[in-house]
Amino acid sequence: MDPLGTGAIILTILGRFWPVWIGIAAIFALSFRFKRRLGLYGRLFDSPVAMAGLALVLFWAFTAIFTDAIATYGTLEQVSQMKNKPPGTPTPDGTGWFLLGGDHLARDVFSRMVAGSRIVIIIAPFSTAVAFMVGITLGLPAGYYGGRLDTFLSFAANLILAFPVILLFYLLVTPEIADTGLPQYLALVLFLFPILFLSVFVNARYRVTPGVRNWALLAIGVFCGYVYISLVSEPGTAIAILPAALDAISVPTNILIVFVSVVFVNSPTVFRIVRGLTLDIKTRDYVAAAKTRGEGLWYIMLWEILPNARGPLIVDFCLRVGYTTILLGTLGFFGLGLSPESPDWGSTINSGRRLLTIVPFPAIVPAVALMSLVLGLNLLADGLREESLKD
Amino acid sequence: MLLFLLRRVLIVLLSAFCLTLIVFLLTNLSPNLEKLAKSEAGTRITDREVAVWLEQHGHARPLLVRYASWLGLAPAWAPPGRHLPGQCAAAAEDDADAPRYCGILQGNWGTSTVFRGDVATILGVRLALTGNLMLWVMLVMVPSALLVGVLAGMREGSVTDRTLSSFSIVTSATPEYVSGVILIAVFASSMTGLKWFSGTAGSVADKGPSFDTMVLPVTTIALYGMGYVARMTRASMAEVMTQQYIRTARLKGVSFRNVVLKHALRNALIAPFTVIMLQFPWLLNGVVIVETLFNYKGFGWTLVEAAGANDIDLMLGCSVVAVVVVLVTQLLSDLGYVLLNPRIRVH
Amino acid sequence: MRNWMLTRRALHPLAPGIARSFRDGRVSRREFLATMAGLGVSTAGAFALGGLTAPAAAEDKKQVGGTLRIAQNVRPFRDPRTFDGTEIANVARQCNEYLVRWNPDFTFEPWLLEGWEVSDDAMTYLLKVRPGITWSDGSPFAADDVIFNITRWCEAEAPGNSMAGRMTPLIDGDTKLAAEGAISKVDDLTVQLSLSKPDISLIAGMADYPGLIMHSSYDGSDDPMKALAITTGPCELVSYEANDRAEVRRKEAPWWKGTFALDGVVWTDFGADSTTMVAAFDAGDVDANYETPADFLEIIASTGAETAEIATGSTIVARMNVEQTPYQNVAIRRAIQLAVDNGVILDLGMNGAGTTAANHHVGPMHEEYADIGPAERDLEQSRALLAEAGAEEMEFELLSVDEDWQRNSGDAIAGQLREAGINVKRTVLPGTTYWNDWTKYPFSMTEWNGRPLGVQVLGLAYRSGVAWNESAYSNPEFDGLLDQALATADVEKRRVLMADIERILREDGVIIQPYWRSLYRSASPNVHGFGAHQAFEQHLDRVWIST
Repeated sequence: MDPLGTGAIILTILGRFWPVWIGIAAIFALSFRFKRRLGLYGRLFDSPVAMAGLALVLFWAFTAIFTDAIATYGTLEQVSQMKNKPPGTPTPDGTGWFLLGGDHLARDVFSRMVAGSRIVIIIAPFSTAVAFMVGITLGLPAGYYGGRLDTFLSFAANLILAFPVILLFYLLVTPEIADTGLPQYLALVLFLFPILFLSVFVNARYRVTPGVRNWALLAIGVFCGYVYISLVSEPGTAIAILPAALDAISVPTNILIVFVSVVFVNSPTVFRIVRGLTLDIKTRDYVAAAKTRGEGLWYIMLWEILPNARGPLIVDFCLRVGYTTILLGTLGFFGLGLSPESPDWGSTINSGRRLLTIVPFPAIVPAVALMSLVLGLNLLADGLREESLKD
Repeated sequence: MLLFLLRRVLIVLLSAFCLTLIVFLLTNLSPNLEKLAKSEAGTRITDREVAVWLEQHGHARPLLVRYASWLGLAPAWAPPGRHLPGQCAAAAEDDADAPRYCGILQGNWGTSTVFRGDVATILGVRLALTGNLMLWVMLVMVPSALLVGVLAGMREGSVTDRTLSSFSIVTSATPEYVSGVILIAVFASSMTGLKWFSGTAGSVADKGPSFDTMVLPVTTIALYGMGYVARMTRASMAEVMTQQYIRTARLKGVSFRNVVLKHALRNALIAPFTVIMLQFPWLLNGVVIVETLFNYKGFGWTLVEAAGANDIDLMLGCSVVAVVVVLVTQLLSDLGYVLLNPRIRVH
Repeated sequence: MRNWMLTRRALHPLAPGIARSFRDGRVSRREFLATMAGLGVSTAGAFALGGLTAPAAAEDKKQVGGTLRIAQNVRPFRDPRTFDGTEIANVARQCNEYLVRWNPDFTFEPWLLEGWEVSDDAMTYLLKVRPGITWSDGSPFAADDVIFNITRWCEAEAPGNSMAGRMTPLIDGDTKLAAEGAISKVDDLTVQLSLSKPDISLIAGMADYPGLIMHSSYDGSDDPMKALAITTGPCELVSYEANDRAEVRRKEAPWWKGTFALDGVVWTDFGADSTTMVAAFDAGDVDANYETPADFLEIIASTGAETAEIATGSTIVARMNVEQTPYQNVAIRRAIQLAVDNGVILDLGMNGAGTTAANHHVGPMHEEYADIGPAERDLEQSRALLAEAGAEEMEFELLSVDEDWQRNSGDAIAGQLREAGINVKRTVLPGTTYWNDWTKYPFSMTEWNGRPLGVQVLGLAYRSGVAWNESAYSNPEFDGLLDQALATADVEKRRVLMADIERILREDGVIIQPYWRSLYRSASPNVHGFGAHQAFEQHLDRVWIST
């Protein structure tokens, strides 16, 4: 077979992404159709910037979902003679092409980039979400009550923020520390917050109807509790509560460590934002009204203050997912955490940059991918901010 | 005001204390101590030799005693033998004269195992180099970010605004390890053959900085940082431009140029000022990546080397420096905000 | 007959036989020279016996002056007998020297020794000290200095002392020190070594990089300025900043060996990442490097630097620790070994820079090498063995250090295993962590430098219970044969034993040894005489810079 030319490569790649195009088209069509009924989300479609951002983010989200359909080769499949080959080189057995070339271990750069999206798309938003739960659960009372609680929590948050992130990673993510089980203990604490948050959230809402409340709390307790234990526990490590047979969610230790470190780094910032917003909102009239109605403290915080702080929080969430993506890349850059053969973008950039000057594609492809996702999130955040300010 | 300052200084000290305690605990976990022993006494030594080494170097004492002796609140470690290794060795030639206490409180920062030297001296040299890098980054980044921000925010929604805003979004979406790699490939490698600048700054420590070696590291950090500052400036500028007094000035017939320069700028720059001050701690992180990438042997590079080899005293020194830099810049940014903004008074 | 020995003794009785094997093509040039040196035959003698033409001593018109800048890691200094990498030795060897030097043409050159004499049974060595050498404090270099150093090497209990492993026949098994009477002074310029069992690898061991000769005032200090205060070599140490840079400059006083052309040498540490090293070449910040990884040959050429190559006995092994689960089972070890095509690993891991090896850690560069055929990939047998062990679903973890080619070779092996349907997990650890437990990992990759003799490596790495036996391999039959081989100076007889030794090692499935590496190092075109060295040694007295 002949090598592909530039045009043919681009066309083939665009073709490979067909499920993504369909997905994006469907979302956009539906959103335009029901634009007026979709609130803030619907208004995104008035702003070209926000639409561009959303399209980029959706692109990578769908790529992550349909990885198996898009990728042409396995992420770890080494095809001999394809080492460091330029884009469009046919494989020796004539079954296909390495669309964006081969890397230093004769693996397909295109497929690895596509598969890398899955890791980022899973870790970045989820760890950010957990960080938000931690930040909100602690930030609301800190801002609302003030006093000693606030002083203590703010001090702790500032302390973590004063740590150079990379020193923190080196302290948390090295194999020695992992062996002591420290990251797992940290996970034990951090993953408790989402459960706490949900329980309090439900409790505050349905306090007056104990029937609903008890069932809801029980459901949360059983379901989240199981997920929690199953996430944290891993047979053969420091925390092995569940036997392997019952351990439904098996998270490789290094992924867990990365996840926990990222949550740990992000939480204090979220805390500060939530605290600031609470300080501001708690002086509003509707909070005073709720107080006079005799609502519980958590009800006020979660059902009065939080919804009114959602604008800035959603914007920050988008930005923070982007920042987390960059952090994950940083971890890869220093060779910390993620498995060495993992196709995640940070690690591939790091291994590709060695031979950058003669074989640019293995580093530049994931670099552009990472950049475009972060760019998409930033644009989306910008659009959201603009639209939410129009209220 | 004085009370306010005093309070803040106390917070800095307390934070430094807590941070070093945490770093101390983490670096003194037993696998980390084993790593230290092996990198000191030989990678291929046995477990028994590890235990002996740790015993001989005072790492077998209780944890809090070791921390207190690092602080200078407990006597320094002195083995039964002749010479005093570690903390007090530098203080006196003769054992008899050596002080019993020599920790931070006595002005002794300990000894680096990686660089085989006094931590204070090492940090001094490395910080000077990083300071140099940061100075140039600030000199490049701040004016260009402010310029971009002001130009973009001056006329919101114009073509200039859209172009410059896109530019700043793109730069702030490009982390250092991406832009640095691309810049080296384009400007310093044989791939394009341009070779305009040097792709490594390893020689700066010996020969001093030169244009050639500094361009790429400075550009790499400045690019990533300037996007954020520029966007802040733009937002602030755009807000100021909609204020009543600006409109009044425009209506009075003051030229657009004069409105921007004389009326809008001062107020528009208050918010970016705090942002810029808060960039210092962030720069400290960016510096680690860039210094590693370009082999610029400054503070960030030292930190990575120290962390990689579990060099306890040096890591503690680095954390003290980091926490002081972060909290002092916060303080300065608060003070600056107060001084710049006539509407705020501290009581 | 002319005297072909280093000392005035009759030709060693084993020499003619080996020379015959060499002339018949059964022994390689390199190994022939190594054995001749081991027997105390001079280089000129070896050339004459082997019917080789001695290379014309091309005395170039060396230009004196200039500072050579080398990109190399500057690891923290330590007691020379505990050196754990050639890098520290490369700085130290410009100041202090060795008893014997291993040259890039694989000959052994008497250095601080003028020569040595080995008894016919290889049990007694007479070391002749080179007269006329003085330490920098003015005292003469004499037999006592040699005794001081060899005695230190024999302190087997000293943490990290790897010279003890090379001096085993001199060490008392109980005291872990030099045996009574093993080292004795004959006169001011002669030392006699009495071995407890024959060993032909002693001289080669003295040429190894931890064998640096220190002044008798040395107390084991890890401060390089103190350690290298009194020296015999051409240079003096100016500064040594660990992980940063080191510098030496030529002494004022003349050097016993002649001219040292360079004014000084500076080593700069560019970290583990070769990219910065290349960038430094690009920027003209360095003139030479420690090593050019095979992947970087093309890039470094584009900077205008010239690269020298040397084929060596350096290699990497993916070894399985036979005491760790699940590798106690030989079927599993064999299944893994048989699933790998060594040629592919050479291609992907080393960019093809080397020759494929055959999973028994002895190769054609060793004189006693017996060709027992290449290691074949056999997927069917591999699968059958795995099924027999009931381990089809098992996941194997392969560890390696985070260094370009080692990591790539590990990834390539993992790729081969996956292709064969075996589950593999890869773990890559940074160097500082990796070496903490290198002998204890269940399945991991280890780099081995070349040794002149095949029996030397096997004795260091696969004999029961020795310090560097990372596979915990323990096979009495293997040990017995190895002892016999070590005592057999006759190459032909040794080769017969080696065939069995190699077969046992391979069939026990202890290692996957994919290739023998070629080593490269580069220098700017105006640097002359730098070349490459099989053990990364930098013999800078040969180097000069043209303007």
